[in-house]
Amino acid sequence: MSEDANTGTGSGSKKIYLGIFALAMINVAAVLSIRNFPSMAIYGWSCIGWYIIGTVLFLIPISLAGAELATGWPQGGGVYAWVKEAFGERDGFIALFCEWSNNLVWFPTVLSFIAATLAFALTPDLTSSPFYMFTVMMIAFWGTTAVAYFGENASTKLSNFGVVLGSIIPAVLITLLGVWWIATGQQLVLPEFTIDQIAPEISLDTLPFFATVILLFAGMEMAGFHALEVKNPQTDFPKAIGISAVIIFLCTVAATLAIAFVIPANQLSLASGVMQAIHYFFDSAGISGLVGPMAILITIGGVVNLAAWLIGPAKGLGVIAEEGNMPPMFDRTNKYGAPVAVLVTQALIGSAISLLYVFLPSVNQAYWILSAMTVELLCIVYFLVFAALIKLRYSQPDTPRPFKIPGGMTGIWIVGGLGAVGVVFSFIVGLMPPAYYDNSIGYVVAVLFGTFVLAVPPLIFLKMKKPEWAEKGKKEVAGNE
Amino acid sequence: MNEKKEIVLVALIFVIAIIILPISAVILTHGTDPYRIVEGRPVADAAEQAGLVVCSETDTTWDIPGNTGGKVYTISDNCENPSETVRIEVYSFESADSRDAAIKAYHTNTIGKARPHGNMIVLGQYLIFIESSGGSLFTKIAEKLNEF
Repeated sequence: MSEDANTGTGSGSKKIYLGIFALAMINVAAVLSIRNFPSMAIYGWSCIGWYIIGTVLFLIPISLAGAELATGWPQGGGVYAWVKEAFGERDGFIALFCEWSNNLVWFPTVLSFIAATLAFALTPDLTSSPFYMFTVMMIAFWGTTAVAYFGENASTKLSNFGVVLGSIIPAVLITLLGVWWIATGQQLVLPEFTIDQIAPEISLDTLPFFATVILLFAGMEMAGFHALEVKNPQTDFPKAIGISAVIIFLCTVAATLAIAFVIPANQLSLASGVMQAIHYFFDSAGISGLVGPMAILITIGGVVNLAAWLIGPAKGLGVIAEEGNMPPMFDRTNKYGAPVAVLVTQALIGSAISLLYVFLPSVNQAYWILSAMTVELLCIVYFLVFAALIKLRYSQPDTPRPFKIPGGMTGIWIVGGLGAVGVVFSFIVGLMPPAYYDNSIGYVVAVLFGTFVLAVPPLIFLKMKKPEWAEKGKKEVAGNE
Repeated sequence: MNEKKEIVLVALIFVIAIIILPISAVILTHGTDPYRIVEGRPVADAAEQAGLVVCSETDTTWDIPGNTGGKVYTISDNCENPSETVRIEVYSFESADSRDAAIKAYHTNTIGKARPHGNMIVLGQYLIFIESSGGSLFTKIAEKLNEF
């Protein structure tokens, strides 16, 4: 057990409580990704400006919103509980389902990243083998699901250990190499720093990138799904969210700049991604032998990133099922308290989609539409969270909020408004087809239709809902599991 | 409705809502990008046809199986005094399988949770990449590339 997970008693059985560090690491696991660094380093000094935009329009608003909502309504379910309090069960269910269903489309991408990065440590040729890719993807997916099956204790261990090893250490290592590069007087590929170089180029052409940057820090709400495992949510959530936001921002900016100092922008291929950049970076530093171990660390980072997104929304869906909004078959929890039916359903659907992803012929435009759908679904989630933040200040002004966004109603409108405007902007830009796409209307219809279909199941479940679901489903603990 | 019927209905909702409609439909309606050998230097030729100039052309590689080489083009309306420039990477692949594996690899290199960086065009044996800020120059080139 980690130092921060304390034991206590709850419901007659040993209950695991998450401490501040464990909560913070859940957010760091969900958000901090080495994959972003080379792509952002291409922008040189102006990557700082882009990160500031992402921080002001999303990271700070979602962190503050998460802190206020999690301390005011520390029930299980995360975004579901918050949106439900503000707008009712239906909208809460839609928010949570969008968070869950966008994962299903995203899983093959992150699984494929894990398999390809691991192949880099073994032999890169493996990436062209669909059987290798699918096997590793399934091991990672079902392995992470198995960890989630063993409940909060196992998940916390994976998260604490994995995020330090697979996300923070690689980011710190890259940063230290950058510092060493400067300290030894080697040539920086960036021009001399001037304040005006921080300003990013904002124009019609950079709008898609602008929208991408806003959602760069998506996942900061993930700790909220673990509210039931927090002993003192009122004090622990704000601290954990603050710590995770600082770690994510510092690691991201420092490591991106380190890469930008060493690798010329024209060597940072748009296509080839993080491992080729790491290869170049380590070669330049004369430590190419460490590329393989680094690939393994980054693979671990990919796995904890997957785990954070796999476990959080599944727990939320488990809460919805427990409340009787889904058929009782989804309310099965095992003796570790894990929502086993949701986890298995998720793993089966994710495996089927991964199978299509690996073995169907690659269709670039289709992938583009699927990634756009993921973005649109996330925007729906965050819009509802920011709207709930504002609405609850009006509808439940007296509910105690140990962490309250300062500035009264003005403060809440600035924070909620900035976040909401940012995600609405991202939603609209997400509907813009790429330049080469010859059927713009078809693109928009496909993205909107797919988004609608992935968001609509809650309405069907609520239509089917029966009173006995709530009673029948109550704690069907699969004791033998 | 008994529990068995409920389970079937729920399974149908998930299969239809999450697998068949959004994913399969999107993939099937778009068809595959056929692998064929495109002769010449399509990006340079398309730029020329669009009235643009190739200001520089350098070799590059992508450390992925089946990549047979690549070029990085800097293209502008005027190399001496450009009002806008665009950087385009072009990689060629020895087979449909290796090209398709590279397409997948590109889509796993996202910024944030979902979006891949920049844009990609598939043209025969080539994968063509452009930054998000490709701008109007790239739109002109893309229009010509669609005619190849």
